[in-house]
Amino acid sequence: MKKVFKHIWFILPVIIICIGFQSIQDDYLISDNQALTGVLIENNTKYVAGDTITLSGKIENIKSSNLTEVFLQLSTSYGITVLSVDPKKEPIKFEIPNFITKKSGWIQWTFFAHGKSLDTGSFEILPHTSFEKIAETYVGPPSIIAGGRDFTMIVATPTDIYDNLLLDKTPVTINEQRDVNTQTFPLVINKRIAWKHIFSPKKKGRIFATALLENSSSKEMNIDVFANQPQDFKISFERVHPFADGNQILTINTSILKDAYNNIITDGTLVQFIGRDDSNQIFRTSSNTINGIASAKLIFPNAPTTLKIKASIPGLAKSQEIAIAFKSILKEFEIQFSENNRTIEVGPLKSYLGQLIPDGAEVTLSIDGNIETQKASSKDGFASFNISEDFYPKGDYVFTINALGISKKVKKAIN
Amino acid sequence: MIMEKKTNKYLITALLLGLLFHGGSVFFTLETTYDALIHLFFAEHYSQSWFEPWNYSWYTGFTVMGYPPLVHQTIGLLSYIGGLKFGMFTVALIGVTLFITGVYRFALLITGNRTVAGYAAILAVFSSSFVETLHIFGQLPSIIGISVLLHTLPEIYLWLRTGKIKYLITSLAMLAVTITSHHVTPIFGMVFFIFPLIGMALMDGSKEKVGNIKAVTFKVFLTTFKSYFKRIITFGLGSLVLIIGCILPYWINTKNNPITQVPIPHGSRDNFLEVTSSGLVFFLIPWGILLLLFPYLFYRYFSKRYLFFGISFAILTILGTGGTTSIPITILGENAFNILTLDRFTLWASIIILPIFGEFAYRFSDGDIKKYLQEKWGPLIHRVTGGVLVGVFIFIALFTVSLGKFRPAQPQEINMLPIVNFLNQDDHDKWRYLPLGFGDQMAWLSAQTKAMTVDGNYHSARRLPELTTKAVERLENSKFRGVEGIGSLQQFLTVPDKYHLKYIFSNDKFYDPILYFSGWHRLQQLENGIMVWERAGVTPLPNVLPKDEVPLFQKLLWGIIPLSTVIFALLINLRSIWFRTLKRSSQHAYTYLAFEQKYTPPNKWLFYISYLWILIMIVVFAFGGYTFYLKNTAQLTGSNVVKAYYDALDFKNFEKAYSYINPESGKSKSQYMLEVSVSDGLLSSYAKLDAISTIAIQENDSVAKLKTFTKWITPLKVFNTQEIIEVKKINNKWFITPQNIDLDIPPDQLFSENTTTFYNHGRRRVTSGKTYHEDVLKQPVVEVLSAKLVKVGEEYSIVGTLQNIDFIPADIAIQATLYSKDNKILATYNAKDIIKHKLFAKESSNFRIDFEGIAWSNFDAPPPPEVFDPNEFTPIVLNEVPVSFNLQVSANVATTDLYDGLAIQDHKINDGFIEGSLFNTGIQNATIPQLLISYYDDDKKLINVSSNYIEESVRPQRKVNFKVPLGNNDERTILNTSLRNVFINGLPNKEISNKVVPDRILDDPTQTLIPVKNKNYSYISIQVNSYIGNPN
Repeated sequence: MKKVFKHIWFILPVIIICIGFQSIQDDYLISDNQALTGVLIENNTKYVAGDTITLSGKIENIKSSNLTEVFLQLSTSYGITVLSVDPKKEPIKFEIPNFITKKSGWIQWTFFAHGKSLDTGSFEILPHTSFEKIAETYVGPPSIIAGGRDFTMIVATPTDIYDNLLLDKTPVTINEQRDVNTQTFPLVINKRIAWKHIFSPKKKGRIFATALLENSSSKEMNIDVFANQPQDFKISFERVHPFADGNQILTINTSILKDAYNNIITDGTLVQFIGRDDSNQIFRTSSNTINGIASAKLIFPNAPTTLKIKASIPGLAKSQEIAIAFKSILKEFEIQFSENNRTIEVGPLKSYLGQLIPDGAEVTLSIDGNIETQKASSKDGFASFNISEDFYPKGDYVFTINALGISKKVKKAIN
Repeated sequence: MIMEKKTNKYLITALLLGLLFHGGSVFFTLETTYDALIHLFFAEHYSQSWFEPWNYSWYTGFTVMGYPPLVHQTIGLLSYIGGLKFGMFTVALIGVTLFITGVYRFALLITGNRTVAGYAAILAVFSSSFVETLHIFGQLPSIIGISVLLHTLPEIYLWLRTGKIKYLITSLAMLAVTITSHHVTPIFGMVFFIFPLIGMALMDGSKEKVGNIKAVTFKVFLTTFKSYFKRIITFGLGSLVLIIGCILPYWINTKNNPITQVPIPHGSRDNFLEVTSSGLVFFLIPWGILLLLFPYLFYRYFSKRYLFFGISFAILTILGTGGTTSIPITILGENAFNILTLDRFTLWASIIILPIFGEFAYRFSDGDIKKYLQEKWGPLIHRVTGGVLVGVFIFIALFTVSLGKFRPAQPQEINMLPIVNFLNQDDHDKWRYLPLGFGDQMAWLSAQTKAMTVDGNYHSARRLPELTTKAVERLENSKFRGVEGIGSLQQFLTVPDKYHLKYIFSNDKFYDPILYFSGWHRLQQLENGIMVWERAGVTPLPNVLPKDEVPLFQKLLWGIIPLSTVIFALLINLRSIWFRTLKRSSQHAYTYLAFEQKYTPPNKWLFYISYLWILIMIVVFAFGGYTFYLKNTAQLTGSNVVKAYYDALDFKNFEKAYSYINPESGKSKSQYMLEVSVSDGLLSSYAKLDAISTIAIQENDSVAKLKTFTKWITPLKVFNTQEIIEVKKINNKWFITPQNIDLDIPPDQLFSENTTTFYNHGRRRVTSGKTYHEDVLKQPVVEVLSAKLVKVGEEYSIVGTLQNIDFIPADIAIQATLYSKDNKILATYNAKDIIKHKLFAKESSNFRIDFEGIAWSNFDAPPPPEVFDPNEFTPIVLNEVPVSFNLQVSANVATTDLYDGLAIQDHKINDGFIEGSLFNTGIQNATIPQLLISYYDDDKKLINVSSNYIEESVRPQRKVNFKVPLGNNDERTILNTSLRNVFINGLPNKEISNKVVPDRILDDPTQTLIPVKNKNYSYISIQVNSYIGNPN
């Protein structure tokens, strides 16, 4: 608030004076305005950016001593600017300020005296020619797919020293480096820009490009060319032994995935694998590629079966089906009942060499066709179950025990 | 009567004690209180823009005219001297001084006895309700308000009795200070302090007329009332004008922006018998030793002179009991009951009784009761009793001060500097942020940064319906507000673009899973351990934000009046201090000093009733303590030990948990700790135990089998588990028999894996200018393969499949909009967790977008459920039937949270369940696996997708079994399958498809579906996603 009051002592007299002068001028205009005529002399209709531009004018039917208000209105790309001169000075000369003369484009002017438009006209400022540089170059998108269908566009906007876009038809060169080959493309500026489509090559890699204009050049531009969509591929598998021990790891490898132009597809492309076993259980795994190869893993099944595995990149490529057979590791196992037959001990579970199977093999127990099966993990070759009194009162039951694909049925009475 | 010229030594003692005790402890307590930092935040606002009430920092902008400004402005002003915290502590110490002197003047007014008043002042220092209000609640304005009100009371009394204008001026001047510091205090103070004071003044006036209090009849009282009527009305009108005038902008704001907030639960409204923690904090602590003296206190305040104070005290006491009885809700009405925090009534009750408490203390230690008791019991017992009472009194005060240390209500102090620096870097403050798990410290963060958050800590000022319709204190601690909290939070996480919310500072890993599954990713961990999460592709805040403009006169009133009231009151009081110190001779006695009482031992019945009361109290406490002991002693019963065990697990106190394990089981401590350390997953790392109950299925003296039902809350879903736990009694203590662990041994000791990882430089040049064109990555190209508008019941959702067909990983956000047949927009929502947000090159994901309304925004709808359920979903209410939809997919380059190591082994359908096992082939621990199950109709067309979280983590090369129910048996109708309005990063989907994948293979072998027998769907497929909690 304080500031406003401080300034009011400056502003108030100014306002009062303005009002006073306004009324005086109005009187004058009414009497003399109609008779005023005048012209402005243009030396040129075309200038070059940075030139000094002076327009001189003449007003008739009035004594120069009576002239009070003469100005030139300029309509430029920055907007409208008004230049005024001292009317008493002859001849009337308007010097266009250099922020306007540096900017290329059309300028329209109107010459006014005492509120009356006396003359209008226009002139053009052309970009400066001798000093040129390439202000901006763009390339986009920065990455494309190999194969010649995809393309990117390079755009250069050469300018003069005042940042004016150059005139159409100015020659621009675009240099391109693919692999070891360098290519030069002569272009001309069209609608103030120079542009070119760059279609992707068949081979993946990186394209370097630059735009040149006489002795000025743009910065380096990179275009990455990635492999196109993958083609069908083959899969194979690796494993340490053929036994279904539920412990070792099965690796499924793809062949090197390539696109139709023999480019290895980009690292990190996901390949899906799906397998089915004999009892139609499904296995799903996935892996992303490195150097074109994806290798997915699965844990060995814990019962003898044949896994039929296929792979694909959904919607784009697929593999053949492979079948992997797993043999049983167990021929036979024993079952011991104790504690009123409420504790069941299964084992020893012996593997293909006669060794105790590694801990953690799954053994299941189902009682009388009850849906709920109990699971136990083996430890040191044995697995044990407790038959809870809460759920199983005294009586005869049929126990089905399944270990690593071998199934056994026993009928027992529990107390 | 001639006034004593000596300074009151008790008052001096009280002031010194008060400044020592509170001054020494306030530096350790105030910053961890509930409210102090909020006031600090407001103070920061005034220090930056004194006259501008609009604050952009919280919510989406709010006005500080929602809270009287005096205290905030004072802190703001003091902050120019020594910073905000200096201002806060100074104001707190001023509050302490004002309170002690206020109590002294109030007690002098009531009792007319300077010694008694001095006793009251000393007691006020340690009054547990005051200690609690300052050191636990941090309610500075409330304290200043009540203290100044206490100073006002003698002036009001003098005005009423003497009719001297100077007293009217002093009383109104001080009332104005109360009003500008706290709005609720003068309004209720009018009722509970000033009305009884008027009553007492009338009593005194009547007594003077008839000479004897006993002779004061109702008739006499009425005539006195008539003669005082003018003064009462003058004062009443004056204070009304002040209450309205001093904080006029507040009232205008309240009228223009009525509080639409639904009631937020507050402990003071609980039933104290049911919620014992609230009973402790809002009843036992503030009352403290006063509880034992109730008979005396009531007896004294219901004597004729104090009758009106007695009534006021009784009402305040009852109102302070919250929801324990239905009386408070009946008196206040449901509306006021749910807006007010009732602890203030107990505070006022305990303050209003301080003079009588002081009187008791004086009489007990130095007066007639001492004489009486010493004659009856002998001096020793009297002294011991006195010692015990003082000891308990001081103990409660100390206990209250340090309560925040023993039971922290706030998270550990967070060093805000790294966060402030982060927000200042690289234009991060161009987006809103959200702190999680900061407690009330979020206000301190807001005070230090100019960045804005969608959250806030003054819920009366909220405007977003997402917040006002929910009983959520803050988003930041939403897990404590159950379903509504997480519900509110999820809306902000799912549609962050609406609020320009890009950064989340997480101080509580509980929220991590929901952040990940809603599409957020971790950016970095700051030095103070706070994890920064980011959401890609959120647009920055516009340069100009909307605000509510208020007229200039309001801004001026708000900025000028409050401090002016203080200056005015100080000037007036300086004058009286001047007179008091220099013109002692002309000093006259205050009229109320004439009413000093001669104390004679009260009726012996009072003693008997008091003894009985104390006995009852002791019995009640003993019984309460015993029940507490029975319920909470860990190893007293089998069910106790199970509960204690789970409790210890819940708080990650594994050493304690181990102490409940049967020592005869042979499980060593190191073995137990090892087993705990390898267990991870949603249930063991991100869950909060909500309820536990046990049923004995087999029990005898020494062993029992307990079926234990536990309910765990996680940010993603509620888990109900049941387990049979065996417990055993050894040496009179019950122990838990440990359960077996997974024995599986992975095949490889050391194995290697090759992976592709990604890094994005962001800006390659170190510049704060615009990002260079060549540093901007191309957005990945994604193709929507199918999208359908599906109707189920009255709800609509969009299901579909999309694939990242680019050669770089993509981060996906999908926004769906529903249109009516006239192309009117009906609803907009984003994909939440039923989608894989981060996709490898060529990876595809099925998704489902549900249209969520703002929960419980419809007040006619049934009230929100009391129990927590993160799956709670409020379908949006649509006025018209949607016929078409628009999908806007935005894909950005993803570089993190890509993991494809989980394989689904041998899965099959079994009786409505899908069973199988997850095997981790990679090298990261898959903390929370998610199964996305897709459902297809007869023609193998996708009709639904559901998300299921597996509670256990899958460690590398290990297997975890799962069994998930196939749900959603509702019939689904496909309404629209057109892909015409699907856009990827603003480009039409169809063109992308034609260009990038012109010849798509349709019979893809891996799209194999599993046939299911169900009347509403015929096939399913399954996809896996996983949150890696601790990436290697």
